[in-house]
Amino acid sequence: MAEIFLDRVTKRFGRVEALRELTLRVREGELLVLLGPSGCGKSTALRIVAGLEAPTSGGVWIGGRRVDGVEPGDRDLAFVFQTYALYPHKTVAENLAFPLRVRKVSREEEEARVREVAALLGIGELLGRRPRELSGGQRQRVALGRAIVRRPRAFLMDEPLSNLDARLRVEMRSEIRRLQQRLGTTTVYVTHDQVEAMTLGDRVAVLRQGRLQQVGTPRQVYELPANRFVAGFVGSPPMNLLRIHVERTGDGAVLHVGDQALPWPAGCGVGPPPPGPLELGFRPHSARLGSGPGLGPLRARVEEREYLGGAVLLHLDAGGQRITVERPPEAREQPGEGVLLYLSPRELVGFDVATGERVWPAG
Amino acid sequence: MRPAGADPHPAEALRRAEERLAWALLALPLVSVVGVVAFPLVYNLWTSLHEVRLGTLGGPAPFAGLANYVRAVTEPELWRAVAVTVAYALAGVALSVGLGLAAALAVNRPFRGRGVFRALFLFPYVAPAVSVAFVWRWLLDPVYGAVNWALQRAGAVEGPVAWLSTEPLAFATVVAFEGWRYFPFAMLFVLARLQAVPPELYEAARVDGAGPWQRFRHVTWPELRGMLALVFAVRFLWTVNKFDDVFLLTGGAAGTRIVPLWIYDTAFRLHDFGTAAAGSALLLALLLGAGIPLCRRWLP
Amino acid sequence: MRRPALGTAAVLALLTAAVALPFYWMALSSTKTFSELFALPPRLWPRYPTLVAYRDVLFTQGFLRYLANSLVVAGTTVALDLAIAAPGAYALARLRFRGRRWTSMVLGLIYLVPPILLVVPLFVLLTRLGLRDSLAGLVVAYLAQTLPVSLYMLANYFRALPPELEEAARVDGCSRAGVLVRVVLPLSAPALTGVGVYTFLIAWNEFLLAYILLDSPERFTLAKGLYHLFSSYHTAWDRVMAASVLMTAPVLALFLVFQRRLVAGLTAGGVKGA
Repeated sequence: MAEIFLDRVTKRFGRVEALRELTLRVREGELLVLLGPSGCGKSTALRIVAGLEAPTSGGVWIGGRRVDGVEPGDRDLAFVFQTYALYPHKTVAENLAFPLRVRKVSREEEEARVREVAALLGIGELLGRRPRELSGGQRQRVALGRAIVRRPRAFLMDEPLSNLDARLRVEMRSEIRRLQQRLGTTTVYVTHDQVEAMTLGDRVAVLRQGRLQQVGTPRQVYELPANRFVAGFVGSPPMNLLRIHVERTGDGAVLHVGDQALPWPAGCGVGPPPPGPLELGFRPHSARLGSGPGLGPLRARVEEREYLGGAVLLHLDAGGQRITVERPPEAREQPGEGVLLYLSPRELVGFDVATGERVWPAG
Repeated sequence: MRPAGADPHPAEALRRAEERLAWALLALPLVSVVGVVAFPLVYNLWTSLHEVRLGTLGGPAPFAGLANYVRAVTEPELWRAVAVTVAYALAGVALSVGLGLAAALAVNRPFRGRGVFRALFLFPYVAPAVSVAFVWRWLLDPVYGAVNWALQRAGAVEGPVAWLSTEPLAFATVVAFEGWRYFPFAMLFVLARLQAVPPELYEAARVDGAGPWQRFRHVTWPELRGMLALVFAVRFLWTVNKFDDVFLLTGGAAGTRIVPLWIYDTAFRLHDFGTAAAGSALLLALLLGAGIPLCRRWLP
Repeated sequence: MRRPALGTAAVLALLTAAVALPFYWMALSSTKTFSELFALPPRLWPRYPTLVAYRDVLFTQGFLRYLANSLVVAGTTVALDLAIAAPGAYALARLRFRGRRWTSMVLGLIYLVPPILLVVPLFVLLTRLGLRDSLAGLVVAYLAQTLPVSLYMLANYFRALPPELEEAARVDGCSRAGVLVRVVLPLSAPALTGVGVYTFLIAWNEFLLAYILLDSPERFTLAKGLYHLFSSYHTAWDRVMAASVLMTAPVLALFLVFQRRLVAGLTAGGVKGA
């Protein structure tokens, strides 16, 4: 097991800057997810760790040693590709054995490990087949198996579940989680799917256009996003953002939303946001309708209603600003109705209107 | 940005290793190709600047400066050969491209037995030049050849026709041979291009009411133009270089002496290797002049 | 499947006749007796088919030997060509190095060199090396002609393989050369076959160099042997045709078996948007 450290890694392809001064530490034994939209540089970062690309500047350290001059095959890492990259002319068993064969491991050892891995992943019956005879899920398992069989000091996974259908994805997700926890191997996992990121990662690193936005536990990233982008990218439906103006009044504060004035609830245990203009963020499920307690009442009109089965999504208009609120499935509000919203102060965050950085709560 | 003078990035070592491997892998191919081609090119240049006859072949020879070039350029036979070559290449390639286009169109849509035709049509290109040239000579034999007999029977000609030894018939025959032998090449490339045309274009044209000729003109032709030009250009350059076909059919007689044959005659009949080399060098210069811009345009 | 239209049918019929006739005539003439050969009207089918021409050509005129020589030359050329071109093509396709575009262009331009230009220098060069009038010299000369095409076709094929396979192998521990041997080559059977067959064709059919460079009859390939036969016995058309059949039939058979690979190799990479 090893720690992976990226030190100010920058990568340029011609004039395009794919990564900018990425500095990230992956702790031993943890599963870190690199999350971001397409083109944000997450796959590039992973390939640089693997040695498939070289950084333009900056360095990669694995297990305390710098690996920039080291061939991919000598870094003792395993890479799981989105397209699985199984050798089509080899059987499953041969695919699994290949990394060992290349290292000239003894035949008995090789056979033992292949069997062990096959049993672990439930692909024992497939050992004699060729990749083209396997289903997507089976191929995925073989790709994982090939990574595991070497017992490398880290796994690198590049959107391994993207090519699977939705149900299989959920199934494989938990299997990967279980495997990683059982083996305790340091893992870097790349995905654009924030649900995957939240459910798999010990920590999540959010990237955008080559720059690191935030790194933290799923909870941190969800409840205390570092900026507007993270707030909008993580969590579905995305966080609501309300333009407000905060006015301090003696001990308390008044929050102006359009032409409404909401008093900051006294005794709620949370101090009010700093004065001035602010973008107030709150999640769709942290708003209450009808009565408090909480910050409110905020008047809004229902524009649209979406029935999801387990919940109802109401799209509201509050003085020209759009808000989405999540309600239990029995909710009755219809488009055209007016409602009163109460927001829970503990679940609020505030972003600087100009920079988008979170300024409240600070830190 | 790395400050100037700092240690090179460690990844440089990997990149340099990759370069070394590339050159190692390319060493043999490059050596063989360049060796077997570059050496002769240089030697040819040397020969063109010296008086080289049969006696002095392979050994020291008196320096001749540009005398050989002058001799070549002032030699009317060479200019006649150039004219014949250009006409031959233009006519022959046009014929082969035209036939190839027709063949490709005929074979494009699937029908039973299509594969048989496609395979058969490639025979002239795949078969050895020697054998097909000789069978043509036999078929065209003035007295006993089947072609003459059939034409006489049909009343199209009166007596025996010497297809390969009468001017200007020989030229026409050689052009016909060129078209026959190389139309498969054009057919292959045109066919490949045709099959890459999205069928929806034809369907849209049909819905719009276009008939077969209009579909050809407005859908097929624009898609094919580029490929036809490429095939024409490539084959033209190759035809100018061709030695075997004409040599085997006529030996260069009766107005079919193309430049490669002139070079051969000058070298191996007149034993004037110096002038022959000068002619070769001029031919090469012309070809490179036409070929390099082509390469740049069409090679990845 | 629809039946072909009238115009198409006419084109097909005409082309078929034009293509088939010479080959049919070749085979036909080789089995006719002398008297039938020169009889007019010429018969479309021999009344007294005979193999006398073949016997003469194979056992008296030396074509058995020529056949063997051609096989050796063509076979050796194919083996060496594939062995040399495959690694080079991989370098061109996958490795990054300075001068890559230059190398590609130079190799492409080699094609433009007129063979006639090379003949005399090669003649002198190979004589100096003691390789003139030898099959080995011929192989060397043929390699120079076939390598550029082989490199081009194989490089195209390699480029089209999914790069993740090679990346996976590298991460699994293969050196770059190892990737070529263990992953890329096993997947390249179709391309290697196509290139091999094409190279065989070129080497087997080649005339000019064989004509100029070979002197002793024991070393003639079929190309030179056939020409020699013709120059010696102009009018023995049955012999000439029999020898032609001997030279042509193997090539046509090879082509028929491998035509798909051959065509794919020839047209790959040159089609889109050309």
